[in-house]
Amino acid sequence: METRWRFSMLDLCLCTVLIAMLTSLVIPLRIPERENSSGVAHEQFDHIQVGGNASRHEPILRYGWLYGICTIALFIIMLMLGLRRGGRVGSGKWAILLGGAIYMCVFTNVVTEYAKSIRSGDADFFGPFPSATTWVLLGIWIAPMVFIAFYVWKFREWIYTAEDEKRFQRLLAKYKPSKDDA
Amino acid sequence: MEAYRSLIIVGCVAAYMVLCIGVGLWALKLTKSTKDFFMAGRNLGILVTAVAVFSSTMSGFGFVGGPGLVYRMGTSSFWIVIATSISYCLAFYLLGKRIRLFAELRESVSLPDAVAARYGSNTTAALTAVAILLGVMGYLATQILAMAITLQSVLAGVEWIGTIRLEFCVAISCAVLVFYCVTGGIIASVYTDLVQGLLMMLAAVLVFLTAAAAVDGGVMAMSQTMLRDDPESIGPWGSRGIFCCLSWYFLFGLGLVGQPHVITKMMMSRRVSDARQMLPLSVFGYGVTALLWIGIGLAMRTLVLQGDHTALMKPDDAAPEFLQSYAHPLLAGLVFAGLFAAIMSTADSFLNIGAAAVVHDIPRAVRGRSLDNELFWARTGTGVIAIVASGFALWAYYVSKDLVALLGAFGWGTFAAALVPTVAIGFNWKRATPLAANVAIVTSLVFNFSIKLFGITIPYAINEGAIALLISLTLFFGISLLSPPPKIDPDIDEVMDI
Repeated sequence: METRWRFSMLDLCLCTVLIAMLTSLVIPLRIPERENSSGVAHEQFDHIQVGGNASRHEPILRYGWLYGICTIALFIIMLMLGLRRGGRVGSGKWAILLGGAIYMCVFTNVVTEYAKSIRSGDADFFGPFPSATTWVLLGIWIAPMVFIAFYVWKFREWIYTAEDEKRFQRLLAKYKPSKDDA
Repeated sequence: MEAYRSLIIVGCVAAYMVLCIGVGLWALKLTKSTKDFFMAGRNLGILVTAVAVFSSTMSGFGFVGGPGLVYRMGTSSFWIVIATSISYCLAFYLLGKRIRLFAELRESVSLPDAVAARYGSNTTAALTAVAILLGVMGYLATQILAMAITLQSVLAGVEWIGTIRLEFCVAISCAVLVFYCVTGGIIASVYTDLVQGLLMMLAAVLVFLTAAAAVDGGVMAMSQTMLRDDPESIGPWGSRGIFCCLSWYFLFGLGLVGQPHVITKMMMSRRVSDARQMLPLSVFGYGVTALLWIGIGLAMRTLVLQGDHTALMKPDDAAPEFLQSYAHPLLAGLVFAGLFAAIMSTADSFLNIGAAAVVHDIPRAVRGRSLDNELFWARTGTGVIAIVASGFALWAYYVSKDLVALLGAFGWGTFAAALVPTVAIGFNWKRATPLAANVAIVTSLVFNFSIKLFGITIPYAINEGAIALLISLTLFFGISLLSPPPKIDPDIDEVMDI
C-alpha cells in the first residue's frame, strides 16, 4: 500500500480556504460586539426585530466580505471536486473558475453597495429594493445559474460521457455477477 | 363564499388527504421488495425525482417558519432562500452521478449502505445510520406536531366541530401519513411528493400575487415602509447582520449535500444521465415555492408597521394570519393543503430513511447481514417509528418542549456537519479515510448537542451549525491528509474514476 503523502492543488486550495474561513470568523470575535450587532427588539411591536444604525457593521464589514469570498471559493472548489476524475479536473476547470469570478464580483458588489449606503446615509433604489438588496436577490440568487447551464450543456463532456457509460457497464459486468453468485 | 371559508379550507385539506391515501393504495401494488420500498426500484422518472428532491427540501419550516423569519428579522432569511441555487448545483455536481453509480453497482438501498461501500467500514455506516436516526426522530416529531397544530386550528374554524384535542389531531394526520408510507413505501412517498410539489408551486405563485396586492403600491411600497421604519431590515443583511446571514448562506448552501432525505432521492432515478434535467427542474421548483416565504413575510411585516393589521402573537402566525385575512377562501384552502403537503413531503422522507436505518442499516452493521423478510420489517418499522415520534411529540408538547428543540438541533446543521464531509467529499476524494469520517460524524453530534444543551450563544449570531460544519470539514481534511491513503475496494476505486 502506498503511504507517501501527496497533495493535489485542489487539496491545498481547500485547506487554505478552510483556514481563511476559520480566521475570518475568529478575528471579529476579538472586536467588541455592539448592542444591535444581531438585531434588537422593535420599540413598538413585539416579535419584530430592527437592525438600527448601519454603522454597527463598520468594524466587521471587511471580515464579513472575507468570509463571504471564502465561502464562495469553497463552493467553487467543491464544484471542481465533483468534476475531478483520475486526479484531474479537466476542461471544465476554466469555465467553473470564470463562473466563480463572476459570483465573487457580484458578492463584492453587494458589500460595496452596502458600504456606500453606510457612508452616504441614503439607500439608492434599484428595482423595488435598495440596490444592495436587489443585488442579493437578482445577483447572488441568479449567479450560480451559470453552473446549472454548464451542467446541462456540458453534461456529456464533463460529467458523464459516452465513454464513462460504457466503462460503467463494463464495471457492472465485471463485478456484479460475482456478488450475485455469492 | 366568505361565509363558508372554514368549510372550504377543511374540504381542501380533506381532499388532499384522501388523495394521499389513494396514492398509497396504488403504490401498494408496485412495492414488492425492499428495493422497491426504500429505493422505488431505482426506476423513477426525471420529473418525479426532481420534484421529490425539491419538495423534500421545502418543509413546513419553509411554509410557516420562513414567512415568520421575514416578519421578525426582515431580509436576513433571504440568504437561506437564495442559497438554494448554489446548494442544488453542489448536490448535483458532487453526488448526482456518483451516488447513483454507487447505488447501482452495490445495490444500495440506503445512504449508510453507500457509505459502507465507499469506506469498507461497518462502523462508519453504523455511525451514519445513528446520526440519521437521531436527526429523523427530532425532525419527525416537530413535523408531526406542526401537522397536528395546523389541523387543530383548521378544524377549530368550523363552528360545529370546535376545538378538538391535540392527541386526536396527531392521530388523524399520522394515520394518513403512516398509511401511505407503510403501504407504498418510498414509491408512495415520491408520488405524493409530486402532487405535493406541484400544489406548493401553484399555491406559492398565487399567494405571492395576493401578497403584492394586499399592500397598496405592491412590493415597492413594502420596501419603502420597511425602509422608513428601519433601513437595516430591508438592507442586504436584515436585522440579524452580516455574519448571521453569511453563516446561513454557507450552512444552507453546502449543507444540502448532507441532507439524507434529499440525496437519497438521487439514488432512485432510472438513469444516471437523468441528473442533467433534474438539476434545473429542482432549482426552478424550489425558487417558485420560495415566493411564498418572501411574499407573505414582507407583506405581513409591512401591514403591521402601517397599522393595517394588529401585531402578531408570534412570528409563525404570519402565514396562517395572512391566509385567513387576505386570501380568497379557495386560495386559503389550496395553501393550507399545500402547507400539509410541505410538512408531509418532508415527514414521509424522514419516515422512510428512519425505517431503513432501523431495519436495514443498523442490523447490517451489527450482524453483517440483513434481517429475514426485510420488507415486512420495513413496513413494521415505519409504523413503529411514526408511533414513537408521535408519542415523543405529544410528550414534549405537554411536558418538555426543550427536548424537541434539543433534538431539533439534530436537524439540518447536524446532518450537514456529519454527512457533507463523509458523503459529499468522501465519495469524490480517494484520500478520505474511515477514521476521518467517523471523527466528522461524532464531532458534529457532540458539538451541536453541546451548544443546545449548555445554551451557548455565539457572537454576531453566527449560526452554530455553520461552525460545526466548518470544524468537521477541517478535521475531515486534516485527518485524511495526515493518514496513509486508505484501501478502497477495487470496484469502488474504479467507479470513483468515472
